[in-house]
Amino acid sequence: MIQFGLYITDRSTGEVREVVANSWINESFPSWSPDGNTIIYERWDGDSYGIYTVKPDGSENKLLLDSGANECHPHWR
Amino acid sequence: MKWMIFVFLFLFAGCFNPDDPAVSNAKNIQLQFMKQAGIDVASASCRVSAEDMDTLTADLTVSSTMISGQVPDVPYGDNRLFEIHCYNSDGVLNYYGSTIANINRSAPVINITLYPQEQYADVTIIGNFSTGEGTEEKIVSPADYSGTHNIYIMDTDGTNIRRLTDSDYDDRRPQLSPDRTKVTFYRNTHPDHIAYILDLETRELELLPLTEYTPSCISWHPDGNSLVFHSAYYGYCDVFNYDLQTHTVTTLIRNDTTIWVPVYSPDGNFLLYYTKVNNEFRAYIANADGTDPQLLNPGDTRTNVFPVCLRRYEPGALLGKVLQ
Repeated sequence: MIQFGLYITDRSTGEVREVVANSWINESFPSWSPDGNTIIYERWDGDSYGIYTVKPDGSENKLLLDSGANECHPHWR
Repeated sequence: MKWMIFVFLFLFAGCFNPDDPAVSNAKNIQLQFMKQAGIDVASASCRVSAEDMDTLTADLTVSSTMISGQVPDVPYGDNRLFEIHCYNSDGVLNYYGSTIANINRSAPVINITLYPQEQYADVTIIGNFSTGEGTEEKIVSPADYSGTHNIYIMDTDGTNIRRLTDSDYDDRRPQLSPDRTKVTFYRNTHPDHIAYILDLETRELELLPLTEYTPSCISWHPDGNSLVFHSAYYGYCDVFNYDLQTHTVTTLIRNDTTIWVPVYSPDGNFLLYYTKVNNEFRAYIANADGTDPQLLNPGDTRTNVFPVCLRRYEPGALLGKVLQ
């Protein structure tokens, strides 16, 4: 399975920093919370899609919604 | 390049306005209380159903801030989506909502909490209540509880899930408008893609005249007056802008490459997207009119996709997905 992770690029320095990147998991379709303190994203674990949130420093990576109904493409505004 | 660095430093330091203007659309709704034993109460009834159970009815308690109740003796099941229909006394559907609940032996009930949105059942609510749309942050997401992907809206903690669309086709890539009162998305009817704007207040769908473009991944300009989307109509995925006031389509990028998932920066000055050229995926940032594209991570040869621009947190940050 292709593996994707979430990264932050600092345009002022060119630094690319990992936020979350798990083996055998695809993290994609990221969206910032309006205050910029949380990232919401779609997670594919090889079986179903779910929605997770994580802090920009990679902490507090946690499940928001994963009922088996393939929740995906989250947008937070 | 020095000029670009200056531009970005300047933009992120001072020109981005991270605070979307809060739009107040609180409603004045009247509640006619029934007096019972000196206490102001009102009642409503609802029907609760799921795909694998018979419809159950329940009485709900109505207060000035919420409508709540329990439906007992529900068949067991994890993460089941229950649909809730509230009716007026004349039988007219007044509220449609949904909730996900785990029903097990220790909790064999559905706990229902509804917040006043319009009018519930046969009561009229007095007070200033927000509909939640336009004033509070929300999350929208497609999910296939019903066999196809429909659009749902929820609070930012994943609760208070409500269904927004009901289609036999897949509804994809919902995006809340900058004022949070509308959602744009596209419906994949195989092979056509049909673009819509859903008004969260009226629940009315506006069909956008973009079907000939096979629109995908539609998102809003931060001023709310136009949309950007990519199109596969010409064999390659090109990028277009649709002006919601003049109803005109403008080509932003067409260069015989495959360009996907365009989004504007929060100030509307830049366009972010990614391309596929010779099976390599690269993220770009360009001017809002599509000119002067720059590689987002010029030194990174990995797959770079789905760039989105930060509203706030740290200067200069962009978020994207990179193939490990």
